[in-house]
Amino acid sequence: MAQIDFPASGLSGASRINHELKYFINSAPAHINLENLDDSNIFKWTVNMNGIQGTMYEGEKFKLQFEFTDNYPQVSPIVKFVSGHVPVHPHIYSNGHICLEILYAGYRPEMTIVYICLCVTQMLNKNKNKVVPRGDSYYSLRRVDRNPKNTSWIYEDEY
Amino acid sequence: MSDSDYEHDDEDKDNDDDEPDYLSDPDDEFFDQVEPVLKPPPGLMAKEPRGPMGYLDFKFTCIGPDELMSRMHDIVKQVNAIFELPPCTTRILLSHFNWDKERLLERFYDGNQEKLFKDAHIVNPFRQARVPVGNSTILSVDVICDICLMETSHKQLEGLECHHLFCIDCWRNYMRTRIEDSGNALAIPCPHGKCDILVNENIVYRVMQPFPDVIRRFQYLSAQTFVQQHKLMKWCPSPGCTFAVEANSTRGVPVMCNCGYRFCFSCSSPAHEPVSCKYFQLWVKKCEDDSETAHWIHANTKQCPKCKATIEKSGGCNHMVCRNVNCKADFCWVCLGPWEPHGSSWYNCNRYNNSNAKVARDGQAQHRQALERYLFYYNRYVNHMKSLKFEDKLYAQIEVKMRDMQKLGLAWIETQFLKQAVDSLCHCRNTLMYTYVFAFFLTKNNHSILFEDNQRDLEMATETLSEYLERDINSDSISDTKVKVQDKSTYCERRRQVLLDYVYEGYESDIWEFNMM
Repeated sequence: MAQIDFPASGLSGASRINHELKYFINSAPAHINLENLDDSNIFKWTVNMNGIQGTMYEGEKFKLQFEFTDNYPQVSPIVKFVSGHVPVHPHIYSNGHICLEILYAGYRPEMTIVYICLCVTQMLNKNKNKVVPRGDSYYSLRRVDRNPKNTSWIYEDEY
Repeated sequence: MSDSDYEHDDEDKDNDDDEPDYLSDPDDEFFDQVEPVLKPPPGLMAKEPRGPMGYLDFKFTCIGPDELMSRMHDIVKQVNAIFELPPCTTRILLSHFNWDKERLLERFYDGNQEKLFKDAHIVNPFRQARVPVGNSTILSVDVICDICLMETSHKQLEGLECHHLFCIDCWRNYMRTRIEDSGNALAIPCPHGKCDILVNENIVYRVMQPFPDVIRRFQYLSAQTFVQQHKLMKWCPSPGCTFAVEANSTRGVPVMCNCGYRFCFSCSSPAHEPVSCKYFQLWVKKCEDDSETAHWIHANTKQCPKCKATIEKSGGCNHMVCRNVNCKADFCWVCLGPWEPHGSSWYNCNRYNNSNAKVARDGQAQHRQALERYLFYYNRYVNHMKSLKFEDKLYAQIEVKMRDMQKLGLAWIETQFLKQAVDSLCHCRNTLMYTYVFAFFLTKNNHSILFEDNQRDLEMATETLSEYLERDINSDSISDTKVKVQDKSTYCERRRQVLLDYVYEGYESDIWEFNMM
């Protein structure tokens, strides 16, 4: 039997990212916008995120970084805050790593970039206590360049 | 003899086969080896016939990789005979209950079925619309697949009973990614972000049909998960072995895989009868950690009575001056009391009963005793272990002897007794090795004395057998040696069985008292 190749060309990460890019520019919620995307590398996005009015993060500005692979959306993107623009939150480490299930074990290909941004926003909105996670200094210092997907996370709250 | 007589005879035979089938089951290799060849002399076998004792009821079979799938399908079929659900649904339900049929049945008829299906992450099969997924009637309209965000014909959409439809290409990519990365093929969720319905085998076979390698990997993972989840199945821990063992209880009884490896069914460690898993683990830990180093320190050194520094005396008189610059205590090595009252009697101490010194001395004596006791059992344990390590060498030697004997005119089959004798020898050594672990934790009582008698008998018989096997064989002694070796190895096997029976009987009737050390 002839080997049928997996459909790659039309369905590669780039194709879906381009679709999402259009969608993002046209209909992303007002509090997020895309920072100057490098046309030669659409596999790395930086999303500017403004704290929502009436929440603990009102008036603050954050930067959320997405890194995609060619397997996207089958494989989840690497999502973290850019250091220096990290919100203070009990589930966000000061190196930018986010403890949120949908970014790791709970990720599904159907989730879009906008959806992930909204989940992160919701996580910020629900917070009532601006503290860093337990063990933050230990983890953040030792895991500066680590891929957050390689950390085994334990999800304490449901967001 | 009439026909009816024959029938009657057959019936009797059948009944006989049913009763002691632990002795006749061809798959039951462990019991095959220990099955007494000769009729045991009266008194050696405590009870005839051996009653329904827990460990004798224990049965196991070895399952090859190909049979595993059919074992899984058998269980699904049995349950489906009652449920009448699609087999793929039943399989996910069974997997949710770790393949415990009874628990699933209980839960299925006892409680809230809606909740059961929700917990098992499947769509309630009684509720779902009976429209086959992927065969929708709207064929003309193009829709957008939520994964690739591209327009696609409705014909190409696929999905689970939750009706989250995606194009077939995205499904293929999704399943390939999940099946290649995942360790559990039965836990792949629907790609929709807010849906936890699990992917069933039907959709895998339907969608992945052009990719046999992915389907093979899916079946491989299903089998892996099946054995891991099933409480009465274990993988053979021997490296590279692909067999699994199924038993009828989770007891810590040794089983033998078709590859020849013997392991404990409960803890998957190498076979360690007669000692139980708990005490076996304790022993391993004890041998690994330095608790015995601590015993040595306590037994051979003393602590300075003032600053508690550890001191080993290598010579000189009893007058000790602590080297610790902050302490410099003067004391007597014998009684550990202050030196002052001793005056100038440097080599003897008459203050033997000073209470402080007595406590210290008693503690030391206890540690010394514990160390001696441990070393007693450890040395014997290690001796048998070392002898076992020469197993390969012994088999090679025996191979040479068997060839020599064939040169002396014996047939190949007539020389096989030597190999069987080495098998017996290894079994006995393995058992003996762990009898010392068992004895180490055992508290002394009347039963333990009987156990030690059994142990001594087996040990002597085993060493004699070992000696026979090392003797040179020439044409004069050959028939004599053969009789001796055969008798001895039969005797060894029998003594081993007596010892084990007694230990297991003791476990059943709870006569063993253990000391955690």
